[in-house]
Amino acid sequence: MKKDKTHFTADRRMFLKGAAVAGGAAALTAASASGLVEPAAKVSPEAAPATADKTASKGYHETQHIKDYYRILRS
Amino acid sequence: MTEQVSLSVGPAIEAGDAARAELYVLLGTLLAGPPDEAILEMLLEIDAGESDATPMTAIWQSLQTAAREADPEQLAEEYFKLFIGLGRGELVPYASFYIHGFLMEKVLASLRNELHQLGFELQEGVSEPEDHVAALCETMGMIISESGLSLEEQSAFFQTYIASWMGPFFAELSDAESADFYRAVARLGQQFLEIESQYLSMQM
Repeated sequence: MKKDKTHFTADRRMFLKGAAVAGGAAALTAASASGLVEPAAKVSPEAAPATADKTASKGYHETQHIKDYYRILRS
Repeated sequence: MTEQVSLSVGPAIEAGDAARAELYVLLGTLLAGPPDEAILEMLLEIDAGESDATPMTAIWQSLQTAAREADPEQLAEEYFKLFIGLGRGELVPYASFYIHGFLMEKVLASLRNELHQLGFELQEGVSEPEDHVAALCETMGMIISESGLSLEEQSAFFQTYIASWMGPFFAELSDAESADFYRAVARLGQQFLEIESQYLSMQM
């Protein structure tokens, strides 16, 4: 069965480390590579809940550059 | 049972940028060494979308077909012939080589300076120079997810260290005699570079 999202949970890096990583990287269930395939159906800005909590939405809010990105991917 | 494929990111970032960062790290993972069964399985689990969706859809589907047909031993042999070889591989996957014609050249010194300023450093035990294609993909993923650099600054890094040579690199990889699975990886890289070029140029 296909997954809508790929769940990444630990460090995959092989070359570099950085200050932000040393400070405690967060595990993320993110848009994943598949987010680049059908962005409109998965994480489109238009689909973002209008009532999203301000704190929770710190990592995700509608901006022009994200809209631009999805427009390119759909072209 | 295979191990869980994983990727780490730093502070919360926007969904589109998370997708960009993850694809860079995926490319880095595939180019750092032959993918193991866990990576191949992860590729097969990605929802590639409908066949008529976007150019990326066909590329994901090709990569999944290649992953489905891949044999780990053959992949290791393919990777060796392409990037390591006896003496050298079919390709020399370093920015210095593509930009200057030799290894360990000026672009590597400049890159090391940039990484130092960003607070990034090589993990212990890593012997590959930072301008290896996989390291640079990983670096760009980290820049997007952790550096806090603006899109203009991301674009400057992209132009200097990625766009300046990875297009020809992926083109050669796509045409390489030993490439089979990596032909699909090359097409993913080519298409993604094109998308990133368009996207980042819109931010300037």
